[in-house]
Amino acid sequence: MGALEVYKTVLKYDLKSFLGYIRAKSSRVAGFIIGLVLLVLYVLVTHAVLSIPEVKEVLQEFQEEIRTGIQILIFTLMIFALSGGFSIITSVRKGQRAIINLLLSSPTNPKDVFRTVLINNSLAVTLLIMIIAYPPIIEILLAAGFSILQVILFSINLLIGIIAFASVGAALGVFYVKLSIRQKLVIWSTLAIFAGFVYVSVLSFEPTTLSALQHFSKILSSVISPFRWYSSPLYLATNPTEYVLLALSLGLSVSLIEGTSSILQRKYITGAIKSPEERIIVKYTPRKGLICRLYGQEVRGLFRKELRMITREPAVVSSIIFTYVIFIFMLLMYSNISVDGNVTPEMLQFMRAYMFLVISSAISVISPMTIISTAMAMERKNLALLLSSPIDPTKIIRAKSLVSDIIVGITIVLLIPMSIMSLGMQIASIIILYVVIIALITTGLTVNIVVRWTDYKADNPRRALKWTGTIVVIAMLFVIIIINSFIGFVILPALEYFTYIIIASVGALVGSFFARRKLFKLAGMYLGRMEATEYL
Amino acid sequence: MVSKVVALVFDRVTKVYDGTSAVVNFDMRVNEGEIVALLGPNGSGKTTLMRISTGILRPTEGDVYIFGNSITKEPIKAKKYIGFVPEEAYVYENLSGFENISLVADLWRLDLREHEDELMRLVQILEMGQALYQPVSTYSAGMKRKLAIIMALIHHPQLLIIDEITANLDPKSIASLEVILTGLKKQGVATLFTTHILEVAEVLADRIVIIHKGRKIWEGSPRDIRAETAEGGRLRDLYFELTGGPEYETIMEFLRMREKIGRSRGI
Repeated sequence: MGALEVYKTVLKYDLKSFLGYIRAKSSRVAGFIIGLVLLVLYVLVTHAVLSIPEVKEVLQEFQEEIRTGIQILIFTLMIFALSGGFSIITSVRKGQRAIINLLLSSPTNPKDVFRTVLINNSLAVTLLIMIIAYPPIIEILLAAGFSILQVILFSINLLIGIIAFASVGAALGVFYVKLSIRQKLVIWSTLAIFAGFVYVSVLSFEPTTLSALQHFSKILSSVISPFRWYSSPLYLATNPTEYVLLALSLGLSVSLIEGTSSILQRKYITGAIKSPEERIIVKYTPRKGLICRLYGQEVRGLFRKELRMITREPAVVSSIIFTYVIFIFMLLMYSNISVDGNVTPEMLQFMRAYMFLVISSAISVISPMTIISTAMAMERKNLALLLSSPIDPTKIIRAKSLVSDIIVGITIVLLIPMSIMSLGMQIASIIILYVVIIALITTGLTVNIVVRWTDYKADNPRRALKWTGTIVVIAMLFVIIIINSFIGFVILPALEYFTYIIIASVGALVGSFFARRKLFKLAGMYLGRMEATEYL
Repeated sequence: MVSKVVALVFDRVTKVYDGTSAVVNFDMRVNEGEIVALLGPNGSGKTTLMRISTGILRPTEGDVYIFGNSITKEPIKAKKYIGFVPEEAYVYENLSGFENISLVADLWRLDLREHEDELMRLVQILEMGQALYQPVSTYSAGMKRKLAIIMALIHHPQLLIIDEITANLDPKSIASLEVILTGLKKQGVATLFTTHILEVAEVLADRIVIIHKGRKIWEGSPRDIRAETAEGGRLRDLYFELTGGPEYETIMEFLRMREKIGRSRGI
């Protein structure tokens, strides 16, 4: 089979499989149709807006700025393509090994197989980017006065570039899945800290950050930058030497696809066999610990399992680190907030308290939601092991919530000194009590939502919550926002009733503790009644 | 009242999935120290029965009793006796083999120290070696199955339920497992297993149950097989007689067709 034939065959069956996936559920068909309608509307609206003569006039005035600034857009699109290609391999289409093996066992050239797999995965990413970015880009360029030929050349060249970068991402994804858990953890933790730092730096609008961004933009638009090469069709009318850059960009795209597919082929076919030593040692150190004493050996065992599973899932660890880096920075920023003008010290104190309340309650709500839902979805077929063992299913729920309890506990311990120093004893104690209450209730509700609406057969545990569950979670967040506003605008300003507020809060705390126990039992009962066909 | 010496009782079990009956009015007993093989074609309801007996699937009608405890009404009591080896191992891929075993020890409230020597022997018998400390995600299908066997045996079950007893195991491990089961039988452990390898059932089982389309169609000992079939008849003959043998005519047609097409293509 020739390269094109292999490609056409795989594409045909990929499309069939995609259509089969859509047709399997009426909700997916509905979603697909709604998506198509929205896309048509999006294209029409973009066209309508950019066809307005006044808008066209403005864009034509800025033609030069568009030409020189488009490299930043190209860079962003390529980053999207790279990460899209990566995530399509690592989280969306995990079971590709079987397909690659099937293709490799057929009478085809292995290089064609890898090129096809890379391009096909990249096409899915490219299609998504095209749907979102192409309508406005094409319309803006046409409206700004670039010729149709220039726009067509630019679009095609960019498209090939996006496919190439997505291929690189997909190849990185293939290498990534072969890394050890420890290596993945190191990579993700570093990236999470870096991403959190960048996010906060950009958010802070510091002059140094802005100048660094300007400098970066200059590098992107210099002739040595590949992102400048991809914009060469837009310069063709002004400088004929731009053909060289156009050729360079095409050459880069083709070499990226060819290079990654041949590296991938070499790595994949060579393989590696780990031969474990035949020495047998049973190392077991029994530790009773606090959890064993409080909840029993089963919960202790389950808890240790949860902790190991969560800490060995790099995506979860990085999302927790990322959330914490952002929130800690935000807390520090808002606790030192200062506003010029007619703001009274009382008003400033109120703003600080309110921001503190919102951020800290967000941390204590997001952690249980992320951890419990991922931990539950990660069970998949292993629920059979737990549910066929002689334990009350409520213990499974308790162990899952314990991990998030510990993280929320650490958060609260961190919040106590920060809030006391920044807001004073009275406001701090109200906020801390409120955060504990909201964390208790959220955990109880989350386990029930997750147990009921998780797709235990989903490939990606982070996307396993069904639509109904997601809607209920959003509704829960909405209620929390309303309660936050009530606490912020009604309770915090009423400090003259501090004693009553504290008594009521302690009462609510005790109540929420028992409510959570009840909610755990409810979730446990539901879990115990689940049929094996739901997860096997 | 179900007698305590009966390890497992299927009491008129029926399971219906979305209007389709997977198992119909199924009755069966497995006594203490007895090995029973459950045979049947693909989709006959064997795995459904295994899942019902371990409490991860509820019967639509009827019940299952494990040493007198109803799996639907007293699940925790009943499950204490069971060691379950599913066809596809239920193991945590992100944990090591040993961590999976410790989890089972905690779920059955065992002190693993007391079972250390036993565990070491099992690891040796099944040739798990140092792989025990590697993440399960690096295991082959056979290694995962061996781990599932260790996990099922480590808590001293009185009833072993093994789905597809030979699945993914190498001949040496199958032979080792056969010896283990025979030994456990002498210690009073009851075993119910399914298999498609009829010779294994013939050699290992005290009693054989054949199901077809969710219904029990035959039950007896290997000796009964010889009595029921023509002279020198084996389980294979009886099985094909009851559930239908290979489609010889269609097979011959296929082979003729293939030969004809191959000749025309010059292969």
